[in-house]
Amino acid sequence: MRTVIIILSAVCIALLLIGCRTQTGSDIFDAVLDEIDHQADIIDDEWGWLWPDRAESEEEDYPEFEGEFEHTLRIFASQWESYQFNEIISLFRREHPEVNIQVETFSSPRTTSEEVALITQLLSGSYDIFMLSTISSEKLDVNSLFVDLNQLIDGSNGINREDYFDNVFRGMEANGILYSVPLSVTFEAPLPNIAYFRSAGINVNDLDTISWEQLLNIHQIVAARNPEHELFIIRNFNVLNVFDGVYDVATRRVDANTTEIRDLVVAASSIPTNIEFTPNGPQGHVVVTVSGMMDFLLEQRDNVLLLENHGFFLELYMMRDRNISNMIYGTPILQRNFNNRIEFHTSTVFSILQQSSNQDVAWDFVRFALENTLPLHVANEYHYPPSLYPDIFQPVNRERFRNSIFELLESIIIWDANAAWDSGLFNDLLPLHPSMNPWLDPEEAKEEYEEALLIWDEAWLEFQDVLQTLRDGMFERVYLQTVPVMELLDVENKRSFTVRNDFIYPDIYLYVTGRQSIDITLANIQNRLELYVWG
Amino acid sequence: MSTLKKYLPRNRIWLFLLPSFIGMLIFFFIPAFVSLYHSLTFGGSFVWLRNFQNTLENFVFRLAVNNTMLFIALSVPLNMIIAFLLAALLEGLKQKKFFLVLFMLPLVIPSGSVVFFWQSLFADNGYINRILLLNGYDTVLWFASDWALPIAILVFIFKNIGFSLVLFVTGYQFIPKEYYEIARIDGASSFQIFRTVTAVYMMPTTFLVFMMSIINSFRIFREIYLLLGRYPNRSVFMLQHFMNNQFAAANMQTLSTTATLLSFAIMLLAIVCYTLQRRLTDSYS
Repeated sequence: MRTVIIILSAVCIALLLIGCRTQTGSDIFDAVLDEIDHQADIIDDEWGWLWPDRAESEEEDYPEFEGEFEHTLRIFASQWESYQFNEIISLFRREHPEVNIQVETFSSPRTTSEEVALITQLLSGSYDIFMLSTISSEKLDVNSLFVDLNQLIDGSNGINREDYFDNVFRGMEANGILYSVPLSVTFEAPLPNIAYFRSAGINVNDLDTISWEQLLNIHQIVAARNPEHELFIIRNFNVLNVFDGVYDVATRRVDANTTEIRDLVVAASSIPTNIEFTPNGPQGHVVVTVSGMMDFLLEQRDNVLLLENHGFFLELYMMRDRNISNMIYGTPILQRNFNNRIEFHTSTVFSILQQSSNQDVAWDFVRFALENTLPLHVANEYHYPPSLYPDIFQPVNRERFRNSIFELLESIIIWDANAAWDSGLFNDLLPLHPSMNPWLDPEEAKEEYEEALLIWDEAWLEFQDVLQTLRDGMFERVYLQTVPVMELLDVENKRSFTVRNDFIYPDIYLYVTGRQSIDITLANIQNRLELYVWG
Repeated sequence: MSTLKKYLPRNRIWLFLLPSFIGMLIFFFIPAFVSLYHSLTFGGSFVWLRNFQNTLENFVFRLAVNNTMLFIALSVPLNMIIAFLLAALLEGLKQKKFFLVLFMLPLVIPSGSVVFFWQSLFADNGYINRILLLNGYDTVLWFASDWALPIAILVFIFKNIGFSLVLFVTGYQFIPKEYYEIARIDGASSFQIFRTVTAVYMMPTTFLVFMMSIINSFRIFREIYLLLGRYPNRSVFMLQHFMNNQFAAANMQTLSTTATLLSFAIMLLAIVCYTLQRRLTDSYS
């Protein structure tokens, strides 16, 4: 009994002590945390609508349409696309409550067999819109499946082509029709290693674009001069990449069996292949690892001829990733394919099906999406503002594109700086709080603390001015540099993984393992692409 | 039967045919007409023969037709000749039934097992390549080279010879043995006996085997698919591959046009063969 009383007393004393401590702690944190909360409220007001939980709460302000729907729009989309696109659907519903939107999702096909099953489902369903970016659409008979969107763009209910990167729309045409429009695009623009290019007699500043042939020549010259190095072309250089540009959707031609491709495949197969695609490669290798979405971490950066980069904002890269040194890497250069065209990749691609009985409403929806493009998936998926990732896809809507650069700078300059400020505020101001200095006279301590707070407030305003000036200056420079680059894009790169896996990889594997000659390899690939992609 | 006649007048017996007819209507006639409609239209409007023209101009279609014709031209006669000769050999054997069962085995064995057997022979690391390696020769990529067609023919013969053999053996049994004896008494040579007796009486069976072999040769797609994969070498790219492509590309026009062309070609072939068989039989008899 005595023991129990002692234990209970100890517990009570401990609880009292903890209670007192909590009381004191809350006093200490109040002042500083109030300030941080205030900043967080500002951030939330500005960005919070992009966040899913916020979006969900806003949906309550827009109750379900109670009348009978005038139209039902059926969208057939991959799971990934429908996920990222919920925000646009929600926004569209607010403006068009009479339209009921049903999204049916499918898993992205990994093989051509799965693609066939998907096409069967597409044909047997009564869908209005198909989001086909995850399938190898180059095989599809677009003329009999989809509406020519050029006619809708130029129609009475169309859009002004000048408000968009129209070259992207033109680059999506096939068989004489525009069968799909993307909301956003990205492209290959690797960063050249200045030193290696110079040693090959090329000033990177003189290059707007680079072809595979030029790249191969540079690689050979540099490799000859640096035999002791293991030299890679780009991070994910893969011999299969060579075949990306060999089939042209517009002309339905295949040129896989040419001298240029032969040379490149032979050279590519001789390049060391200890490139790691996993986040942490083994030590001692020339490895480029990707941490998160964008941070390139090079262990031996000097040995890379070109660093892969899907974006083109070098200055912004430098700011976000201090590991990339502009002493080594020059401005990104666009890469030309074998047809001498600059390819782009698409994200969230819309097609309107000919079988749709709601083509006008479907076009209203597509147009709305184009006008409201935002890379929302990043915000949804990672709970970050979209522009935290400079290599994410760029909107084809010019205004949105401009906004995306602004947001990018906002996030890199303002957000990061403010986060650093908050940290400084917390670390420097907190020790001055009167509750942290009980040995001082309370009045004197409070006065000192308020003086310090005033200095921080003034510094904050100055700091914001500096940041905004920096952002605005960079915005003009980056925007003016990047618009002409966007306007150079002229053809979609399908990079269909099913086509790669089924028609290219089997023969390349035989060649690389020494079981088949290069001639037979290229002839087989040419045959397969001719027969099974265009046939 | 008498009870049936009592309750069901003769002119209503067609009611019994109705379930089959409905099945044929839903699963054959209506799809056939829909296919014909697709082959004559584009985007909902009639284009008459334009789809046919486009399809016939498509070099991949022509390649598929050429390959299919080459395959038929080689495999069907080979299959028939071997089956006919085997039937003739078996006629004089006491163990005829045993050999018949033996040759029928590939027909009853599932295609997957048949293909597995041939794969184990001709695969990159198969038995034939191992033998070549052991004897100091280079290995051959049988499936990835022009050897794919002879292998496909071999598999076709292996799979179908039993069926053709049974038909020929049955045909032999229907030839009256007295005719052979009379011919021999009259001093006819072996060739004359073959030409005037065997060939005449085997004509309907030969025609049947011919037609069945052609129909079976169009079904070789399954074996080629299992043996050489979904995307085989150019030399074995058959009409079924072409049609499969069109389905995967959702190209209903070309798919329907090809199906219509194929149907007409088989019908034409059947009519020609039937007419020829009638004339030949008439001329001999």
